[in-house]
Amino acid sequence: MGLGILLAIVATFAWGAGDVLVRRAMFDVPAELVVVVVVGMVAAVLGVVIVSTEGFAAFGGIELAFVGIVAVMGALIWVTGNLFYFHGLKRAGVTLAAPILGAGPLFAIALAVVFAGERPNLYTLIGAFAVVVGVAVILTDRKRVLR
Amino acid sequence: MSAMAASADTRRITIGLVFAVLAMLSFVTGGLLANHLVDGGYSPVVVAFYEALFGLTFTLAIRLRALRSDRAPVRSGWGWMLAAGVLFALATGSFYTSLDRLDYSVAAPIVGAVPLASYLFVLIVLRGYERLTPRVVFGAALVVAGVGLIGVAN
Repeated sequence: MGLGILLAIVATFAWGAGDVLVRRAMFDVPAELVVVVVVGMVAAVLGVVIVSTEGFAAFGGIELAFVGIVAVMGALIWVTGNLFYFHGLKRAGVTLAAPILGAGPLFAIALAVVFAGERPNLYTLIGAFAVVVGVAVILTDRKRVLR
Repeated sequence: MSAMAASADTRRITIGLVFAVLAMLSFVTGGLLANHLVDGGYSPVVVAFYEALFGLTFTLAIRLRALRSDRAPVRSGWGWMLAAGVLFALATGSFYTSLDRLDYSVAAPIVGAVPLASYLFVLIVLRGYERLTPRVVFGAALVVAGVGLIGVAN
């Protein structure tokens, strides 16, 4: 469990840093190209990691249902997720759109309870609520943005 | 005339909020599906790899025409994009591996702190774009307390 928490925290910082580098890249490069290069790089890096740790055999033994689910995931995460979010930012502005994305954990818990049958304890629920409120407090502070 | 402009503004913002909600639901549903596959015994990194492969295929298919007409990126742009790709690979691999050890309802709130992590890196990488305010410090304290509580409780 401790390693799981640590990995989730590593993911949080890696995504956080990655988002900033994407924003920096978009100073010089169109958003469409950034998305394509980044997702291509993700596939390449993970492919190298798999080959070096599990060998080529890890790519085999894939069922049709698996292919269907990861195809839906690819569309959800990289197309509708990013594409819709960019359109949301463009129309509603970061102050309104970003906190909505920050409320994700509450919906994640709701889906996990309904579809995965998970039963989060009270402290997890309070912690999730604190995260969502904290993120909303940060993102709606207009004074933090200098330019 | 001003009433019409206000109405157009309200409509534009409402559409933007709908897009943001749909994006959030997309990310959350994608995570739940990843959790389902990892719980089913699939290697988390293999799941992340195939997800990225399909993501690459779809984004290329949808945006190929736009990409053809885009100007060539400057060299510094490539550096930022490639570094971002490595970090996103680390993030996706780590998150899906964490789902192998944690419930989705525990891991998802921790990853909900991404905006705080982004903010910290903005202060370093994009110095001069944002500043630290008392309200931000309060929000960050709430996020850290929330993640800490989840960690201790689990």
